[in-house]
Amino acid sequence: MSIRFELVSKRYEGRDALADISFLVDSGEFVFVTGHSGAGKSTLLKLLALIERPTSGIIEVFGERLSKISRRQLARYRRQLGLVFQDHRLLLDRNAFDNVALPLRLDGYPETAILRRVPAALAQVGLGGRESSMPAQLSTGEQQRLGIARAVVCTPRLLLADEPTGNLDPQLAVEIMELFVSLKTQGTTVIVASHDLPLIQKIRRRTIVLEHGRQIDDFRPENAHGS
Amino acid sequence: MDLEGASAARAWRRSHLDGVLFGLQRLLRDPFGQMLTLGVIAVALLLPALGLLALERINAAASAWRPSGDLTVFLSAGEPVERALELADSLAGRQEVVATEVRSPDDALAELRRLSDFAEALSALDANPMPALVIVRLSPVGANRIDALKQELAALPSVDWVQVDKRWLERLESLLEAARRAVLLAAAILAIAVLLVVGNTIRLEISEKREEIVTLKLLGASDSFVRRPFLYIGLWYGVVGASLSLLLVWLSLKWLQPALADLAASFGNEVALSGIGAQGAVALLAYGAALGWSGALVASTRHLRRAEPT
Ligand SMILES: Nc1ncnc2c1ncn2[C@@H]1O[C@H](COP(=O)(O)OP(=O)(O)O)[C@@H](O)[C@H]1O
Ligand SMILES: [Mg+2]
Repeated sequence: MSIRFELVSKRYEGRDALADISFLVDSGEFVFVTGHSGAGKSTLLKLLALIERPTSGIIEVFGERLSKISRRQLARYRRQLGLVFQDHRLLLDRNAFDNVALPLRLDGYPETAILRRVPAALAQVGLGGRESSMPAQLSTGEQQRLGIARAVVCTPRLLLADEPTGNLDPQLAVEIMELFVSLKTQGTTVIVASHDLPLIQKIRRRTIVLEHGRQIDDFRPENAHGS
Repeated sequence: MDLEGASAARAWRRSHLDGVLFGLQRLLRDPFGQMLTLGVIAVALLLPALGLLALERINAAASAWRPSGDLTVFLSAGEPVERALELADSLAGRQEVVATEVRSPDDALAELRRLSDFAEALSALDANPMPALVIVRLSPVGANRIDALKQELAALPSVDWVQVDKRWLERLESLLEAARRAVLLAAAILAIAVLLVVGNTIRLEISEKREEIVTLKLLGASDSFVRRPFLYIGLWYGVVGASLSLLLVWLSLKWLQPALADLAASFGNEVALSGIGAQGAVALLAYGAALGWSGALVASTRHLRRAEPT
């Protein structure tokens, strides 16, 4: 078991962004969270990244109750995560290499390992050879892929991606999703928030559907097709 | 566990190294923009440094010059003033002595009358109870053997007792002590000014870098990791500000030197105002570094807390 939500609600100024959400996710599972804009997809990821705390309910990640994680333990918890942000959140004063190297450096990887892993991660997202580019020199789509490389570079236990393909053309979007799916081999659990239905239909994975903060569906295409 | 410890140590070392470089780069990127902060630090260190230096020199000068500890020789009651004059003459030729002065019993009584409330009672006396006395002003040589001299004079048959007069010295010392405290008080106030100025600079720096700080926290950087570069900025401010103040100390001393040399010469001794010295320079740099670091620590602890992801 990787993630457990039990009757989780998040209320902003009297309005529910999420209401009574319950689900389980296995280790190494790939899950889409979808729904219209404002449905609560980002809020769900923020709760998992401990950017927000739920108003009520229980969240467990890798057997640990998130409510028990104090401010001081936050950094250690987040180092097991890979985060892909809607707005990329790149560090604008350092080049592509140093952006991707950052999680490795926070984890204290030796410089030789960093020199090996960073170019490999950049190549995985189609940015091979762009090590010395500054973020401002990259297109929006390339910035998004740089953010993705940074999220996968240190083999996270849990990858949380918020609209990771919003700025990519359909073919590239599929390639990135295939990269995420392949992370299963190293045991990474992946949660992707996306309202890109064609993409979701193409990838055919478990999908949790939200509407106005409520969970209205949780389907597994494989099972539906008996695979 | 061992591996984990090694990589934690590596991450820690690396973040310190990055911090040192980042802080220096930050300062070098826009040195003139930092002039106000650096100037405040330089002046705030310059004033106490000069003050303490001056006190040290005055102290040294005073002890080189300590000579005029005076002796007052009280003759036995009834000894005529002539005996005092004889004694004064015999002392005047000695190298321990710079000058002598004789007070007759009449002088002494007159002075007592002037100074005391007992004028009436004193005038009722028929005989003058005051002894004749000799005030001996000592040379540096005499000052050095003031105790031996006191014993020698006290042993004379016509002498009742000898008083060593150090009051002026005590006065000078308490004056110097008061001045020293004033300098330390000023230093403390200026130190607070440095903390505030560095703190404010760091606050601006943090608000400028807010987005980056939030991103670092989201990627799992600890509070101390996020804070480190700002501490090094503070440290560099302190070090560069202190270097500037060293330069100012040097210039001030150069400018003061001729005036002080004249002054020293008028006292007949060499009170050269030497520099702050290697030890003093290191102390000043360390003091500046500590102030800068502390200012940054206070400000960054306060303001980094607020830079949380939303
Ligand atoms: N910080 C916030 N303060 C107030 N309301 C918020 C905040 N964040 C999200 N919301 C509201 O919560 C709801 C869900 O938002 P969000 O999770 O961002 O939706 P999605 O990512 O599915 O578009 C929306 O109605 C949004 O306006
Ligand atoms: Mg969203």
